[in-house]
Amino acid sequence: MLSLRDISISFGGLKALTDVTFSIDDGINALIGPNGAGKTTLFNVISGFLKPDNGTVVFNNKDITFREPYEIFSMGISRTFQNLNLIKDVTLRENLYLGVFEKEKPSFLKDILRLNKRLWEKVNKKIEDVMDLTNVSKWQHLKPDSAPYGVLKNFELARALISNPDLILLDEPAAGLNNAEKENLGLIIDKIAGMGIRILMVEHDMSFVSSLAKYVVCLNFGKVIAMGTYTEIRQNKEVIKAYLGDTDA
Amino acid sequence: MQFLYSGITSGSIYALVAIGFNIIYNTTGLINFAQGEFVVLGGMLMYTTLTMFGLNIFSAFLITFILMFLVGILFERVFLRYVRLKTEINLITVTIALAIILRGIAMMIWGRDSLAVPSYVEEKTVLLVGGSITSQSLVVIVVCFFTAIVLSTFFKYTKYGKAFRACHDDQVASTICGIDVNLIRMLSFAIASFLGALAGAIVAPITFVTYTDGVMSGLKGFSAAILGGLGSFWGGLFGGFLLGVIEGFFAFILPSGFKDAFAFIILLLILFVKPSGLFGKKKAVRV
Amino acid sequence: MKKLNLFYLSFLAIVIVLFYIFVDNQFYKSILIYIMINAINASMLNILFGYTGVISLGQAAFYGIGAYTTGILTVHFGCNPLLTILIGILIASFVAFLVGYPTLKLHGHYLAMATLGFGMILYIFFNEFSNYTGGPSGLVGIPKLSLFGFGLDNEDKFYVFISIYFFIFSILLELFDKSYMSYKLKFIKESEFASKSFGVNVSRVKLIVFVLVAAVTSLTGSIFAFYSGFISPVSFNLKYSIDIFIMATVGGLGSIVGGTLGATMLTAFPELITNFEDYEMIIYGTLLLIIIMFFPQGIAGIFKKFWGRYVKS
Repeated sequence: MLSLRDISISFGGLKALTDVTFSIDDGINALIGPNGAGKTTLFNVISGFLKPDNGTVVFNNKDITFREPYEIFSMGISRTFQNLNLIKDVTLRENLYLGVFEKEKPSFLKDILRLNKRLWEKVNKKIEDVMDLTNVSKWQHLKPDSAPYGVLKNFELARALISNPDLILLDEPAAGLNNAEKENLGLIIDKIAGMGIRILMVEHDMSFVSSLAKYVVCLNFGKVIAMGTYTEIRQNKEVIKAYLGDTDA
Repeated sequence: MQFLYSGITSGSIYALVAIGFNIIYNTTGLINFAQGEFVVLGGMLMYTTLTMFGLNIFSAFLITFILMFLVGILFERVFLRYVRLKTEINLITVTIALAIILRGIAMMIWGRDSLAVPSYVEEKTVLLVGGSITSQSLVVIVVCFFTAIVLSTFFKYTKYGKAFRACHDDQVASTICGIDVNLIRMLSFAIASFLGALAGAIVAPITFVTYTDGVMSGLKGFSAAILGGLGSFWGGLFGGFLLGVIEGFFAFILPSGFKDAFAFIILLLILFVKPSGLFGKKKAVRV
Repeated sequence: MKKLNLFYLSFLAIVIVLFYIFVDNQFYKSILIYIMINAINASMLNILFGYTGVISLGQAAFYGIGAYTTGILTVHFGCNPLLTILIGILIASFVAFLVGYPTLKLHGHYLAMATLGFGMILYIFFNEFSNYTGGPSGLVGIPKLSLFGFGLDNEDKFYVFISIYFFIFSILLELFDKSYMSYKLKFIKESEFASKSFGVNVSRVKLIVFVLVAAVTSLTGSIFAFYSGFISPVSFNLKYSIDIFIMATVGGLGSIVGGTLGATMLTAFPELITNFEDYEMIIYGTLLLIIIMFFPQGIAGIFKKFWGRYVKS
């Protein structure tokens, strides 16, 4: 469903990605690799923020390489951010509007003249559903700067989820969470995958990856050095040398 | 050819203002809307020290530059630092507010009339191929080149100069490497203010100085900076000269009332055709 | 869907009506007319700057395009007044598109400089093309507007007309504030990156807002030309652009009452103080500085805070 072919991109003299080729299908997939390996750069290429110097990104049989981010979203890819990117001026609940409205394409006139009551009902229903799924209902009326970090991460996840995308890109979903929160997050991600939504996540926490991901791609210095199931990756000599170390992280 | 010589003269001024814009833009990411007011203040202070207090040229320059250096420091240390919500938009609005205040102060102190600053050198006219140039214009051009060379040496070889460039590349990494980013930000405002004042001081004997001049000086300096590529040092210098010459050419063939329109038309054209300017570099998007 | 603030709308209606009934002084009425005109201009800038985060320092230029289109076409060509309003809107929209298209695609605040420059240029044009504009001494003899056979030929009638225009405008503004659209603009202001990631075509939305704001400002300019009967470049210079900017900011960015609040204060203020002109720039500049440094939500924000505290306790 998502396949990348020969993706290369460089900034000045630095080659951030070189001939990255892989594809992912159903379920939960993970992208691992040391810091600076190009994982977030790759996310930005997939979501349209960076245009690769070379190569193609194909999603659901459509070439999306040179599409703009907003188009790629409407084709069914949404994402979270490594550094939280919630809107500080409005409540957490209102932040979810951003995730859902553009997909519904509200007409400007109807919106201004308050003629789209049904759309608002539908949106509110979706918001309730997605907040139930991510267990964040009780925080909904706070603004982002007064809620705990773990809650904000779940709201970001909820915002990425509410538009019913085909694929969600999660940029370090477990980073900064404590063990209980991680466990909770794992359950939510499992549930999402069970709804038929594909997931590609960048993650450093190997036990988190091993418990969830069925397919893992490892990047190092902008190149794919291994891919396969977690167990296969775990035994790959190059991966061990570059990243994992001898003991389980 | 005459338009070329007058173009290079006014181009020198635009170049100095443009470099001021670029230095602040590079270290803070802001467009400083008070850059043009620095030019006006430079001219006004020269008038005050020379004509009103009757000081000699060297002490006049010295006092003007020290005061303007302090104005730049004040800008960053007091006004930009204590903004409660430091969004880009709020910080730019602060520079707009300061520009209005400086203009108001200039009007209150020096009045609404144009002020004449006496010439710094003996007035002579040098004949050149196809035209002539005054000794005052020569001073402007020489000072501009000299300043550009000193500044580029500073950025290239000194410790602080390198710190400026590092801040441009990556503020977080610079902080980690022990560079005092706050100090660099402050210095960038001080240098930009100094450059504006220098431009104002050297051009004042030719164009005189009025409290409303700041808007046009700022606008043209900004156009020059965009033309050369916002953030590029040599781009600013080259953009200034190019803008000056093009403007001189059009002033030569069209009614002079429209002269000021060209800087802006060039600005829009370049934004349409090549928004990164002639020397702009592609910069990686930081997320 | 958020509830409409009917209290505010009724308050506006009551003030306007009471003023009409009890104030007989033509001078005060003209001040209120100017307050309403400025309120519309400042509120439009507020949508652009306060909601969307796009700085424009050239609103007077669009206001001037409306006024001069109406002035020139009625005085020199005897055009139908209503048609000139429409032509003004079209020209302003087109020009806004030309200025906005290249600048709003870029990151940063290129548009602020571009509009500043554009305002200066237009001011030069208003002065220089004196065959049509009358140059610095202005354009006289703009006919009175008549609507559906009803001539707006005195101050009272015009007061009613402007009040209706202003009230309809305020209702639309309130509807906008409580719509999804206002959220969308706020999302763009706070994070273009997040907005793009969730399907917002940021540069297109910004451009549409900029053009719409220019169009309404031009419409208001045309109406001003009919009201005043005389226009000169001074009404459309940089100072007026900056006045509008300060009205919106001091009143309260991103708040629907902000434009009206700021316009009321800054229009009435100079009438109360003699010799105000000499200190105007310093006072306005300082006001702007204090507000943006310490009270970025403006006076509307300060009110809201006190109101919230009062209601809670």
